[in-house]
Amino acid sequence: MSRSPSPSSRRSLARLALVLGLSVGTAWAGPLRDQVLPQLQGIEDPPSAEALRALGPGVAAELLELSEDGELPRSVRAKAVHALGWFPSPETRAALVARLDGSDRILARKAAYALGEGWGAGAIPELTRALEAPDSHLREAAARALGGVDSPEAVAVLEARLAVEESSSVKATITKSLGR
Amino acid sequence: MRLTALLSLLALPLLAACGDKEDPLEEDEEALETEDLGSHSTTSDELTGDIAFTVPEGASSAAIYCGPYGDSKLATAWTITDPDGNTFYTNEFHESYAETPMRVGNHDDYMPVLIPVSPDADLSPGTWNIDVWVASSSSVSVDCSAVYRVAEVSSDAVVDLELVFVGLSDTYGLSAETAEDDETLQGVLDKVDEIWGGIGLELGTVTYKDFAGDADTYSVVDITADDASEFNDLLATASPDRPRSLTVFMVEEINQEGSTVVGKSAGPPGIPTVGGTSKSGMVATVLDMAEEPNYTALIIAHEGAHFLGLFHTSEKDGERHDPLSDTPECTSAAEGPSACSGKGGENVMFWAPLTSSTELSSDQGWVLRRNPAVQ
Repeated sequence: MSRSPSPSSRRSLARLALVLGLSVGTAWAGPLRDQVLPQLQGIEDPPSAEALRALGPGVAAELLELSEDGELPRSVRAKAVHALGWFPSPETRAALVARLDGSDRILARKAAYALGEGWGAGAIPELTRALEAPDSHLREAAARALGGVDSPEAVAVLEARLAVEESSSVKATITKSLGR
Repeated sequence: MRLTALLSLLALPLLAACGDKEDPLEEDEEALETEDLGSHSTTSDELTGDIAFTVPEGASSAAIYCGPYGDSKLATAWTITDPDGNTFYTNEFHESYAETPMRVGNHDDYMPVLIPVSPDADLSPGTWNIDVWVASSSSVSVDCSAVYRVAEVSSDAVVDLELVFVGLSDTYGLSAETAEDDETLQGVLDKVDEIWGGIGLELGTVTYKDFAGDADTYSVVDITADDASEFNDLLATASPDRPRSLTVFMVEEINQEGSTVVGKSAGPPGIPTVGGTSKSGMVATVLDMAEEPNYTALIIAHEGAHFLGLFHTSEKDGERHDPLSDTPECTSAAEGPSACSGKGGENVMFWAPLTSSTELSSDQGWVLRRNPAVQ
């Protein structure tokens, strides 16, 4: 008989691996996995905050594990990363900041949206940094996230970036985010 | 059996010289008939009034479409009447999602209707009428047309694909130049061929093109629940070499309000054999292709089948199902494919199929093989 780590131990390990930049790559069956995972598997239907919140406590922990599960399609992990923004906590924030700075640009973009959605003005420092990323689509994600933050500071950050941005599509996104 | 564009181009002169095969464009011309249904105006939130279309003898399918009326407006077929004056479809069917063999949707910019979408509601020759409703507070004018497939339906049908790579060269090494030698992509296409082959639809010639527009913008298609204009604009660039084909735009990602959508088709159904409209193709993402090529194949098979006239066997709410009588229904669809095992969870057209969900039913094949875009 083999022993599996407890859910809290698994989450701690997952966080540690994330911070260290390691891929856990293991399919752990958490208590809500069978309820949460189908919400992330729609081809054309992204998950909804309402449906995930309705599953009760423990969803954020499950999303953290799913976002790290290397056996799942990258698109499913991307949806899990974005959905973490609906469950703001120090744990989910740390995971998202690590994703934003990570090497997977798709997951970094999702983290930008999630940070804006979950933390609003509190995420301006991270989103400001993302506005300078080499990936133009990450800069667009950060611009959209900042556009959703009702704060003069966010406007100032966007205006400053607009003045130096070279990509026409990012410029257009910033302009739209500024409501112009 | 798949042919590459290069092989087919080399082979065509030889085949023509031998008299074995006609020019593909001439073949398409003979297989299809079109009808201009004229311009029609609505007043605010009103119907167009009956628009007549005449289905020729021997036609196996018809695609009727009206538009454009803009990305911000929705429209739908309100009633469809067959040549005997019987109600073939009314919007009440849609409202109640009753168990009826005809299905249309509410669509922005263009209203596409495909007949048949079920063997239980086949197409008969003669003059039909369709009444279109456009949700608009002001008068709207739309141009309507019809495409009829007059070619016979084969039990070994073929669909040609035109893959358009949108800004994937630097990030994924995928372009028209590399596609033929890209083992992962070729594996994906083999898998699509295998999935569709199960119901008698094979991949034919696959052509590869690089997107000629602003690839930086469209490599990630940004949409919201209310605004699909970027998706529509991309599809409107579809300009296939051959009318009877399916245009697939390969992009890195579809971003829907911060989350991810892995594939999206015009319609369903799309407008077959007609380029240049916002319903002229489908989009598939490649973000899973390196790690899960069979999942990317499933996305193409699923979205391609939407374009050609199939609906989800069960929608996420578990209350709405496709109009086919031989596809299983799952009332607990929100719980995912595992919870719907034996009830459609294994079907390509389940709302959330797994990589292993590769089944298609006989009726689904019947619909796919009839589409005007299929040979």
